[in-house]
Amino acid sequence: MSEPGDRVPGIRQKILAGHLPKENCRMTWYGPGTGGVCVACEQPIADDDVEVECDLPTGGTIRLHQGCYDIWVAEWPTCDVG
Amino acid sequence: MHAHVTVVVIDDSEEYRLIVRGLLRSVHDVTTFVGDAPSGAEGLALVRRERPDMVITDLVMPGLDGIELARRIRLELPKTKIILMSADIEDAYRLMASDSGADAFVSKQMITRTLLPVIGDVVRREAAALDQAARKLLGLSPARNK
Repeated sequence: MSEPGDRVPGIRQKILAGHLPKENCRMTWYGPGTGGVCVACEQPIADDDVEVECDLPTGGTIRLHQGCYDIWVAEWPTCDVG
Repeated sequence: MHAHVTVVVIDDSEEYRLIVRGLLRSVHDVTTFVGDAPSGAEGLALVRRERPDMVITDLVMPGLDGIELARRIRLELPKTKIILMSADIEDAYRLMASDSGADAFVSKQMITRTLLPVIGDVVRREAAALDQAARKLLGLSPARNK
């Protein structure tokens, strides 16, 4: 997995493109990776990684590496356009 | 919520109560441990008395379990943040936990790596909601740092 700083531009791009939401999670689930793919970096979440599942207030759940989650929650509030 | 986050810990396992207390001790400059309890019923009495900012509770306990406890706390103290923890979670429990009003769940398998980030995440969400409300009241546009 790449360094956290290297992932910031790609995650910002996904937020600006509307591929990642701009809202706080209703509930978060922290646990070992379940073999799924991170919605932010598109890399697998290994079983020794921390996986964060985010239940969105508008419905649906997204899964991210903890590091990608931290980047996403720091970046989305600054991604308003217009 | 104050600069110091007051925390109550509820778990029928003394081992996990001690683990959580130890983790909280490492951030004692921003959290205050106000008490723990070995059961849901005793925990609810403690929460009613102390009215903490945050409750960290086991999910599966005899008697009053973490899900029912979370529901009652959410009704009585809607501002109190709730973190559930468990060794693992079955689908049925997950649905109930999701509807309980809890703010986060942490797997006990990774508790030493994740509990403090989870606490930070829950506090951040509260702060973000307050910031959004303040900006609306003041007629300001949303935060735009970049």
